[in-house]
Amino acid sequence: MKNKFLFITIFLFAVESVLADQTNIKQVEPWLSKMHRAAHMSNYQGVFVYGQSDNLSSMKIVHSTDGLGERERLLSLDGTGREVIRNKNSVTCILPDSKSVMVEKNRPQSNFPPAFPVKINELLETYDFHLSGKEMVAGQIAQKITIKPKDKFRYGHALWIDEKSGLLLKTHLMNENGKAVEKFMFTQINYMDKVPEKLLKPSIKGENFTWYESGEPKKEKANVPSKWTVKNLPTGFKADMNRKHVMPRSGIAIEQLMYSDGLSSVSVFIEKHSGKNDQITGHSRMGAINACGRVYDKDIHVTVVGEVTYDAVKMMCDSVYLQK
Amino acid sequence: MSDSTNEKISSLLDDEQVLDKSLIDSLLNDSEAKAKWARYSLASDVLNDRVQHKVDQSWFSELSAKLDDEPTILSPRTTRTFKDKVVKQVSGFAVAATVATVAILSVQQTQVATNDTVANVATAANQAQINSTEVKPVTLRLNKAKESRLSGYLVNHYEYSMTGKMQGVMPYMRIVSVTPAERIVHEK
Repeated sequence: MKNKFLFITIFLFAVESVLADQTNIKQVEPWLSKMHRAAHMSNYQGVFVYGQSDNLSSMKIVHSTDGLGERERLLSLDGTGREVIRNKNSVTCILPDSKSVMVEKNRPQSNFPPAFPVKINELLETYDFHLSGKEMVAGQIAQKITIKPKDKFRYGHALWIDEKSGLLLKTHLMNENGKAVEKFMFTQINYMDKVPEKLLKPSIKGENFTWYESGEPKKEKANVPSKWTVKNLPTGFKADMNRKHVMPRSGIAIEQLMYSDGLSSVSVFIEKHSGKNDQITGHSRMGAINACGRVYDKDIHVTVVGEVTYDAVKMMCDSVYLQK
Repeated sequence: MSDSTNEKISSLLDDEQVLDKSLIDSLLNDSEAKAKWARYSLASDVLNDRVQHKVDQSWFSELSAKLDDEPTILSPRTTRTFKDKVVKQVSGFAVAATVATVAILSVQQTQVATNDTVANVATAANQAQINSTEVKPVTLRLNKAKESRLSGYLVNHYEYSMTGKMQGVMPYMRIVSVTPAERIVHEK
């Protein structure tokens, strides 16, 4: 009798917990969907502050959606004036500090606006979602959403979403100890009907710069099943995509495997070991980005990069292997 | 912008510098000085959760007008600058992120020091804030070749990552935000 009562109590508690998760998801999902749509469909320019480790930067973003598709420009307002310009075909990184321009091919997009990529019900195993009240950010009323991971392999998120436009106004990315490893916040946003062309143009012509452009290796296609795989993945992570391409600066052929838990992503890069001191070995960190690299079987170099904790990239890096 | 102006701006934001003629001239006429003033002001506001208002383009004009009305007072400058204060506050933020890897980093300290020829750039502020009973992290800067490679990886990563799909170009702020001199990564 006593055991029966205990079983019923545990069962009811479990049911209540699942129902609470479902309720939270139903409240949060429309906000995330709204945020996704606003990020791709809004015409605006804004200034924001970004902090990681002991670096603080102010940056400007311009986003345009019109007959030419989605075009974006991100530029530093201090430091060396780095810029990233992104359109439907390419991503151009202008790096005045190294007098170089790096051009990468954009990911192929079949639909516009892109579909909301988050399958939120699949995230319940790994994250808790909560609506956490409303706050003022950059003069706008923002809905705060907190996303807490259920293990040590991924970061937590605090998102402040503009109640009116849906644009993400502020974020904190929290490590496994609940401490912010990255912060970002808009200080100014101007919405526009149409973004003037001059705002989307690069600030330099790049005449004296070295240009590096990526390319696809011949006879290789994206998403052909890779012989490379990762044995130990954090809970919820699945293979998302793989591709082969040529790195623009080095000209080296590289294979990229992408894994995702539906919210965070990790890339595994596999290339020939150069034998020089130009490949990442061990742990490197830049704000919320962790990277881990090692030599595989003497002549292959594996580098795992993602906005997840070091535990996650380390576990994956250690278990990359070539299937026979 | 001269080093003197640079220091004065830092001290001004730290309430340890009174406006003088040369600083007023710099803030009115030197775009680099204006940008630095804006950057440090924003940094201060963000760090102290004071940014509840909208900063707009008229902000600099208003500042210029106010500076015009300010009397010129000469005062000896103090040695502790705003930048020192920012570094101190932010370092707490940085330490939180580095402590998690402290134990592992320390194990291979010797190996890293011999593998890379870059200087140890662990900040004094970071070191000061780590409890003496904890092992200090090894904070190294990647060499240029590795930095370049990491940037390449990140561009490819963001194009296909969930954050890129959700937020477009926004994740690239991690590449845009830092210069080689500032790009400090931790390596073991």
